[in-house]
Amino acid sequence: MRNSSIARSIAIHGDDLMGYGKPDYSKKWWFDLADVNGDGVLQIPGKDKNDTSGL
Amino acid sequence: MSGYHKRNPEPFPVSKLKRVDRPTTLIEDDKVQRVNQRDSGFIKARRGLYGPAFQKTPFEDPLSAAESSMLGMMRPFLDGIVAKQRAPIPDDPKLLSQHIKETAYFLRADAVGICKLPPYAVYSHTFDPDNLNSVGIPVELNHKYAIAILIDQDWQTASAFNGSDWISNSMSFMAYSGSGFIAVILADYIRRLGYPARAHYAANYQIVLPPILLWAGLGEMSRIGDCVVNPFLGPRFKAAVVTTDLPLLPDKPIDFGLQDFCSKCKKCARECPGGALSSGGKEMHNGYEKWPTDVEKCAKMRGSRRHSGTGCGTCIKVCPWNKPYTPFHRAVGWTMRNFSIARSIAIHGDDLMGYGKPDYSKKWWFDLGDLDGDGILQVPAKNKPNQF
Repeated sequence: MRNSSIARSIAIHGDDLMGYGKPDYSKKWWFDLADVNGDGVLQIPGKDKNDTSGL
Repeated sequence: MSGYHKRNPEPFPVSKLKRVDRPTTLIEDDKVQRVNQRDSGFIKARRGLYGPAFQKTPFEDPLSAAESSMLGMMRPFLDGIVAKQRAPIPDDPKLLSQHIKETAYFLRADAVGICKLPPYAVYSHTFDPDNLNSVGIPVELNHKYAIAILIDQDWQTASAFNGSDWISNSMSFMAYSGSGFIAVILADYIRRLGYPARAHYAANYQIVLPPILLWAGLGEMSRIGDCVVNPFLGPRFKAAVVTTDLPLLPDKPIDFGLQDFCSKCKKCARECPGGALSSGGKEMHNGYEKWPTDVEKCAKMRGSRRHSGTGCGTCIKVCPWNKPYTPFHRAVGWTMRNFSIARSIAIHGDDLMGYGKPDYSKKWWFDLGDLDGDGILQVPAKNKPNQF
């Protein structure tokens, strides 16, 4: 790709075909948490703060 | 979160090592006394017990001075306020341990392990920088768990240096500052989750590292004094720790044949320029089975002001476990971990292959020192002009 224009053209189409750019949620390791009210208490954004089903 | 069961984030496969119930060197848990930090080698040197020439740690080279300066700036963030309410996260210790390890790897740790915090691993007192000869500041630390973080001191640099030249201190303080940076962020993150946590890193430890590294499965006790050796990094690392009450699942100690290896090898004792390491057998000291070290000789070697270099890591340099993580060395490491005969062959092979000698073709740093303490850098007289 750094050296050949035709390789860049192939890579552009191949990238979508291979599914790159989409999230692989099987690798998610973090918690979705935010200090929504600015009081230092972390909550799950957009959900009841005691709902842990989305973790 | 299902990803936890599908992938391994470790740079080195620490979790795949052979696990044992206790460290491979005897620890008499009921006999180990908590120690006062002021009795450690460097603090004794600062207190003047090794003579006035060793009272000031020399940061003559500009890179280690800069790294040390950054270490000092992190001090206000060791500990802090805990969120008044716990975050809505699962309380499963296994999942939380995986999450914390992955967070540490995300922050660029090279190896991470978890153990229960042994009470004897907490200093009785830390030294008082304003009154070095006082008994010190009493330590009360009752956290349940310790998260140990290792940072590689860099193989390329380790292969280039001679063990005690002008990059030696910088290698140490690169890993001290890097591991400290990770520990400070990790502790702050845990406090924001609503659990107490404190970071411990160079010059700000409230804990003794070796028993924590042993119990956390990050290495075995080695012939290099109080140093723990890791099967993938050798002794080429520095460590920081986060202690916390976040519920975690402890790892188990590891056995990769190091006791057999160190009893035969003795290369560190042979090459130590300070004559601080023993080629004899292990002894019991304060409830720990270990190879004895002359701490005074080691501290004097590492802390001496000399014009041939700064600091000393010769034992790190020459240890046969100090190798790059290449396919060849991974294969050799596997045989060394699993077969006694391979360890014997490796000990002789290491010398035959010329390992432990400096490869100056890889030298990238300048030999510079603030020799007169006036901020003006000079090329030390004994060194050749800086060339590559």
